[in-house]
Amino acid sequence: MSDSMPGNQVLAVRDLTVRFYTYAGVVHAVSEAYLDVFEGESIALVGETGCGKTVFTKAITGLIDPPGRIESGRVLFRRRSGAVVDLIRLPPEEIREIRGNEISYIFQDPSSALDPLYTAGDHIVETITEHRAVSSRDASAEALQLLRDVLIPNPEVRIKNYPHELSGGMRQRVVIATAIANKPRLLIADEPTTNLDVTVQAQILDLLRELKEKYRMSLLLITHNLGVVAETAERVYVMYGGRIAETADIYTIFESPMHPYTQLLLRAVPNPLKRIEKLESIPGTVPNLIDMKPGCPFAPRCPLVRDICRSQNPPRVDLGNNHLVHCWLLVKG
Amino acid sequence: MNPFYRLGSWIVDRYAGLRERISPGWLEKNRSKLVETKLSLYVFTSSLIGLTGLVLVLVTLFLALFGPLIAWEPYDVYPILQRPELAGKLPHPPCYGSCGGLPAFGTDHYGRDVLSLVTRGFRISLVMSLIIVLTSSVIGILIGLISGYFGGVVDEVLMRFTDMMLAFPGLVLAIAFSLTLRLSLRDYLMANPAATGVVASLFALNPKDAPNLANLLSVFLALILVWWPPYARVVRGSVLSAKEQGFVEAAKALGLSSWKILLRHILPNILSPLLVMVTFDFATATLSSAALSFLGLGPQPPVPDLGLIISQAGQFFPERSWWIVVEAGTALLLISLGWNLVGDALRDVFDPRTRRSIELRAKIEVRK
Repeated sequence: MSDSMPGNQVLAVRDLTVRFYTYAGVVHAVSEAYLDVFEGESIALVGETGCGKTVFTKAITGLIDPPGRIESGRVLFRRRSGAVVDLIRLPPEEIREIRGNEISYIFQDPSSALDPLYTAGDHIVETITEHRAVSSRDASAEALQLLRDVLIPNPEVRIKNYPHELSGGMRQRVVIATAIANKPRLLIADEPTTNLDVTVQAQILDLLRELKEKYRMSLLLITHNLGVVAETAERVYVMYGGRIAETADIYTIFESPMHPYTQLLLRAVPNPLKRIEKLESIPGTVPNLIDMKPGCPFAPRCPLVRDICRSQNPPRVDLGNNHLVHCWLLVKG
Repeated sequence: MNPFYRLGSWIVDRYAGLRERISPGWLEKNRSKLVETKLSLYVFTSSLIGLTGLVLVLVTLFLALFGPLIAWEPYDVYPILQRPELAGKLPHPPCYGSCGGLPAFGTDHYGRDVLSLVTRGFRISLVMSLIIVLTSSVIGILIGLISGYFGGVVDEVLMRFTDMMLAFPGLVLAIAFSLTLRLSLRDYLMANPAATGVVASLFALNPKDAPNLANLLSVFLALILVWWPPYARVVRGSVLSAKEQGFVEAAKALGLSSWKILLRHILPNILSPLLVMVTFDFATATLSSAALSFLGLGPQPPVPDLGLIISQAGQFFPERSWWIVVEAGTALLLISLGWNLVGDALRDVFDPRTRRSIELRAKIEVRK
């Protein structure tokens, strides 16, 4: 692929490979992963714990610490100015300008994402003044408005509260306010609702959707909760063992999944309308990513496994309408 | 509520009132911070140990600041040279009524008043320990932060160097350093009268005494050189655990620079164990610098250094010099005891477990 993207595309990740060089061996955390995000789109990245979702998204802005290393791949990103840059080849100073400014993250655990020594307002002001030449007075006014935007009750008081004085849902709202402080083009939310209770989860998801519209951001949602996916996303990437297994728009994924893993994953979602004897699960465990051999990572658990699955990486099969599946079963002949 | 807490709380309220008058809304904005400050005050003042330590520290600090002004005798005039008839009577023991013009708390073998010397000695001890600990902790913190945060080769190089420094026994290394540094420091001070003046006023000594100032400085630099490695070690360890916390990752993802992350988010979060360590070290540094002077590596007479005073009493000990050792030794004891007690109490203040158990008993309020 060349360095050009369609005008309405924000992010194009190609063949991204991340490995961790540990004493136990080389961990193939992410292998040849790809991702496309268009303007104003909601994308979901789905997979079990330990399948490389978080590492994949962190690698987009180079947030991989040693012993991890981005081995290869390209991350094309269209900046606000319209210029397309490859984030992997960008010098650290420039990529720092993009983080928190044009690409923002919301991490899983809102209780640890805030520094206990600073107030909610301090966090937001810090992010604003880091990326824009704004006086701290103006930044505090903006922070107040942001807290209002994320629907925190009584923001004038809350802005001066320390994290320990806020509830879990409120903390996550502060984290979200910090992330959108500079009106990023892409917001990456890494399991933003995992540590919250169910009612708060729904509120946070609604909030993210509203903010996406309001600020015209693209949203990349990482989750293992398919309910969240159905609720929020327009397109879905299913990840397994550090590789993309299947990608399609939300209806195709739920109506006619083609990869055996996606099919099993969907069957494992409990349906509240059906009286079931036993919850479905996928037999086997998540693969160990250390020193992986070629072959489909899902082969050991796949009910339809063939010989070729164990020895060669599955090819990419294009079923049309942006439905891509990595599976030998779909190869004709 | 004890009176010390009430005093501290009154000061905090006054301060808050003042800030509120300058910029309305300040109180509301900083209420949480004020409550925390008051809680710390409460925890600290409710321990007898801490209060005793605080009083001792304040007394020694007062003597360090004003001792040289209070001292009623110059330290560099030897009475024995002016009154030859004293020969054979010195050092003169404490006396009541029958002193014959000699000081009541005893003299050293030059005929100087020991109590006056000890009063001056506080300045030298305190200045020594403060500057040694503050300088070496800054060096140690910087090295520890860089080494812990950046890791990899940087960490390896810095920590192996720290190990090397730690491997030597501190005092022995300090002796070696002070002996080698002494000559070049002397030359430097001789050539730079301005620097000599600054150092002399720091220690409240006569600027003409440049060789002795050089000796003091050499002890001083030598101790700084051997004092930072433990700090680097402790800071590195704390940084390693602090940098794994979510807010550091979040700060990175928000595009903050490494220095901002280190100074704004990591350092303040590891500060409390450091503060306790620094307080304890004031005591240890006082004792170590006194030990070096005792061994004769520090200043020479007539400098009123506590270690030197004790060491000179040694040749007459115990019958003809016990009062010198007692007076100078008590001064050292007060200094190190004060800092140790304060350190102990601070550890309680910073330990969340003791802190919260006391918090439940206290009802902290910030008044408008």
